[in-house]
Amino acid sequence: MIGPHQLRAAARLQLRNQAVTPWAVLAGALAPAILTLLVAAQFGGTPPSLFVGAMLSAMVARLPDLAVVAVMQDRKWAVLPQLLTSPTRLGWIVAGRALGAGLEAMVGLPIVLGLLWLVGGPPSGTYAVMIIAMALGVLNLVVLTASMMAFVVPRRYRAGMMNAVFPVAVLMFGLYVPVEDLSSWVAVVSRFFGISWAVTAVRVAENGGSALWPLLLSALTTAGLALGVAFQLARLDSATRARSDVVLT
Amino acid sequence: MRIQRFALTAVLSYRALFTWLNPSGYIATRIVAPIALTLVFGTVQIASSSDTTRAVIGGSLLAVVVSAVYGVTLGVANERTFGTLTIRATTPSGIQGDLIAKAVPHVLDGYLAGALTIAVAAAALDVQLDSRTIGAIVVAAGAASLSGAGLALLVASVSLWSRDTYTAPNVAEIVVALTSGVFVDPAQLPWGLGQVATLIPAAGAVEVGMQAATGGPLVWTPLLREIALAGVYGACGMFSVRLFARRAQREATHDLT
Repeated sequence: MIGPHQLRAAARLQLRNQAVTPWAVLAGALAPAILTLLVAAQFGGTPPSLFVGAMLSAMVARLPDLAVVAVMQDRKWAVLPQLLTSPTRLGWIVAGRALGAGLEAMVGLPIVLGLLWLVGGPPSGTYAVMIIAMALGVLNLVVLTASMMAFVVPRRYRAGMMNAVFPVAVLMFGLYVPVEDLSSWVAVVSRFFGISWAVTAVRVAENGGSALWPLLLSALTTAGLALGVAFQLARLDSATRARSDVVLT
Repeated sequence: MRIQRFALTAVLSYRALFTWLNPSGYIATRIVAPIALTLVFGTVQIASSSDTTRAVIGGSLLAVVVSAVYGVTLGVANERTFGTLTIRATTPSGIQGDLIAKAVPHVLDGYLAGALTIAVAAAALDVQLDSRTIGAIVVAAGAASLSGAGLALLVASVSLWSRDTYTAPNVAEIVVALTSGVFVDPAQLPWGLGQVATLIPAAGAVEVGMQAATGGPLVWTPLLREIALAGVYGACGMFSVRLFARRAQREATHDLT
């Protein structure tokens, strides 16, 4: 059972990476919480969809920094090429890092939840839908992070290149505002992301509709993305080992 | 000669020490991020049936303020990484003069980011700004850039002391975004957070911009308050830089990364 062991080791490595700077972790978790507070103040309330959207936005704020930048720096510091000379599969490294980053990004969730609770009280009703949507959204984000990591593995790291991910993702996934309210092409693109369907499910439920279809679509798009990422990583593994420029920074 | 040396320090510092001075990093950080953040709050304001003018004006002013904060702090962080901070501290200009020079190109860069943000966000959110309003915003941005530079000195001083150079500017950006009213009217903030707006950079500048956008005359009180804040933050920043630079020199922690 080498695979799961490698996965666990990569996840643990990812978690230890940031353990040296707890203040940075806290500040990173605080930023989306404060933005959420602003959104709640602007809306003048905290509907259940804002709870879910805000908690997912807290994860979006941290995941690229934690996992994607870590992989790019692994490449920059030649850790990745060294790992790829061993039998360790690229897929396990990426999946483990994404998983570890996902766990670490959850540090921000209680802060966001607590702030919103303090401002507007507990969310009303739809708890089951909120919990399922949150789980699906987190799963989709972890898979999406793995996909982004696979995308950057063969590319050179440029400082700051991930800094726009958070606001763009918040817009594209409709985490604060329904994507239907944005331009039509944004609405179409966002429908390919399970996280967007997860938040839609909560919005449908809070308006008294059935959240079954959006939740199913969220699960399906996440499964499709996971399959695509697995394929992409398997292909990349052999391609990356054959490439000599993976050590270029 | 002194001006020439100051300008040379500013240019060299920008070219050598600005972490995000690469095409993808610059575009993502200085162009896409402020525009996207402005659009996030613009769409939130549309969804809550509010006027989007505040997001457009505030988003551009926030871009101006945080440009200096991140630019100067990253400059210090890179001096630390490259091991040149100790040498800097022993030069005749010292760290204080050096930090002011570091701020200048980022203030100018912040203007560019602010201009792009206001142009794109106004077009995307369908906000009409007449030439008089734009004039007032340019004046307000000038004052905001000064207070932003003052705040940058204060934040950079923390980076002289702490090895973790990202937390201080991140927290500064959060505080400015939350309490200055760049995105949400301070009166709408919970727990009386809006009360501190007058002490935060960009708050006065936003007030000037919003007043002009509603057709009112140029208001001098918030503008002068913004400039006064620049002086206060700058003075606190210089004191703090001196304090932390001495401490770092005493404890030989300048180059710890």
